[in-house]
Amino acid sequence: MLVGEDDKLQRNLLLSAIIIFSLIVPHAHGNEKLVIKKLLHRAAIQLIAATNICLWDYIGEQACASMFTPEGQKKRKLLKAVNNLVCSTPCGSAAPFNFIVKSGKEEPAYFNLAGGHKIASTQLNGLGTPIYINIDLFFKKSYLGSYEPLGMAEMSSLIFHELGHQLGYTDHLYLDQLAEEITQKLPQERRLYHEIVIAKKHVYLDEYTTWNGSHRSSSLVLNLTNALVDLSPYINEKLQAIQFCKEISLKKPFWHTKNLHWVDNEVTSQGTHISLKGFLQVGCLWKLYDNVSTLVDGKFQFQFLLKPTPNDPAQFVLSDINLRIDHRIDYKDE
Amino acid sequence: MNKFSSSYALSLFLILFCSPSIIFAGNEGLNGGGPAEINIVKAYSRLENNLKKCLNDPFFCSPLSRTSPLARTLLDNFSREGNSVDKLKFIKDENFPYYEEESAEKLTAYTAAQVGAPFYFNLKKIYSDKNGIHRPISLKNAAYLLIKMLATHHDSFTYKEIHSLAADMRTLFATSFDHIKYASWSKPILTIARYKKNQLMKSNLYLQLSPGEVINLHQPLLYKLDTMAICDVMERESVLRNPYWSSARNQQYELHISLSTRCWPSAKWQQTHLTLSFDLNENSLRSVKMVLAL
Repeated sequence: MLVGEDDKLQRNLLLSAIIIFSLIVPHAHGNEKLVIKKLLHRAAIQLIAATNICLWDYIGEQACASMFTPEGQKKRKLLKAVNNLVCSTPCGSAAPFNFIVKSGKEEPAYFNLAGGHKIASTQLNGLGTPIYINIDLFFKKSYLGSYEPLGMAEMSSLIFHELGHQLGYTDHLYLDQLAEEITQKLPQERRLYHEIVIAKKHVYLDEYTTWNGSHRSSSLVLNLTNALVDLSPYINEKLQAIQFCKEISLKKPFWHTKNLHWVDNEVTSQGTHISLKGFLQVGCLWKLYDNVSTLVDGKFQFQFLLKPTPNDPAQFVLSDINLRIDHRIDYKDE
Repeated sequence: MNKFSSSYALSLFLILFCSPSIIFAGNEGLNGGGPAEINIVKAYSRLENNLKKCLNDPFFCSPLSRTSPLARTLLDNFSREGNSVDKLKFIKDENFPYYEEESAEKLTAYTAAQVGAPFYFNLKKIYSDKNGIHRPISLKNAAYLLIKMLATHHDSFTYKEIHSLAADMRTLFATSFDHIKYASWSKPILTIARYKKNQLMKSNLYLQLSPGEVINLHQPLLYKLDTMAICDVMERESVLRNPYWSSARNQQYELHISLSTRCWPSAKWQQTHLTLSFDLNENSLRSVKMVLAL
């Protein structure tokens, strides 16, 4: 065999290996992976709330980490360490985690560990290393029959478990048991299904409420199956625009929702209109002291316009959002 | 030839180096949570509360499960069974020593016939391989399995009693609850429970007036549905959704709920609207009115 032919063969080999390799590496579920990462970021925020509640409630009947027992103190140590990891400084939002979403079927080496099949994995004692999430096990069948992502409490538990490993804890059962105890403390998340079904998945809204000791605040996320829409910034912007809190440099608005429900949808030539109604309790918060200064009850209504995508009529895109807030302003405290 | 094999080795090395899955193969540094183990821990820690719920609510538990002393016995002995960290043991299939009595098949789970005995689970059997994806045992099936295992710690119960309670608990664990209030300051809470029984979707309504006082609206709702003569309860599917309060003033409350029903195996859903109004007097219920309209 000639040397030149060797080189050619070797180049071809390398090229075909690279092509085969790039075919093996999954490029699918791009959008889904983005949605999962966004959901996990929310779950990290919920985990802050859950660990906070547990660290404060140390004498309550259902206390998850009593400071008066050796077992409780052991738990508090782990809860504090996780709380530190999950908070950005100062603890106003979740730290930026490196979540890497992979398929356990395509890359089993990340999730088939120690004789078991994992939904998430990370490096033991590897603070700051990536947390791998198994997309194959991330979706579950709901009672309505469509596949939906894990609930917030389940995601928070997973993050807690993985951070426990990063902190050097190896006992899976201990981490799962404590994760279950703390996520039980989370206010219940509500999932409001709309009757619209797109690509065999339901359109729904998730409502989460957190309490930070001085005030309760909600967040709303609309799930259109192929996209997540965070509705909270719309409400925040509207409240800023109407200058709900007078001393805007010193105070910021906060809110939580109640009695959320869908209003009958309407189909026009423009697309499908769906509306969401509810009550809004709005308050103003002193930026410096975290003290509540005003509380006002109001109502709100979101209107969404969904249009079928040009290349796939079974998929919808959100083409318009309209928000109306009616509030009865009480200036007593202003 | 030498040159060819060295270049070949180099390209092979490059491919190996580029592939993260091969780098991590057998990497003991990675550690993670197993979803089946998580579901079993979760089911075990919720078992006590759900057993109490079963005993108190005819909607979830059949007459047999509620009259049999099994649920009460399991509850009374629960504190002696131990916490999940010491109790639940997950073992690799190759190390799992328990076999079915009459076959060479390994068991899914094993416990000795004694209160407080640990529960051993076969890590392979609590997952099922579906097209290469290892699906974990669900929360509801974990609850079913746990009830059966706890029952083996007591020898005085029939298979029928054990199966009935385990099946009812499986349903209860698969139920989704939706709790809604009018506003933060209002007291009554409406709860909607939704679950599947024998593949049929079912819903129920509860009204909580105070923490200790819960009114189960199952019977009045059944009565309303029967007056519409849609079909027999056994083949009727009903889904309650989109509930909201329209008023909560001067102790007078009004609620609206969408109710979809169909008679299995018909595919056609009938949409109705349920209005519930009630008066409260000193936190006790004075009158309830339920109106079902097309």
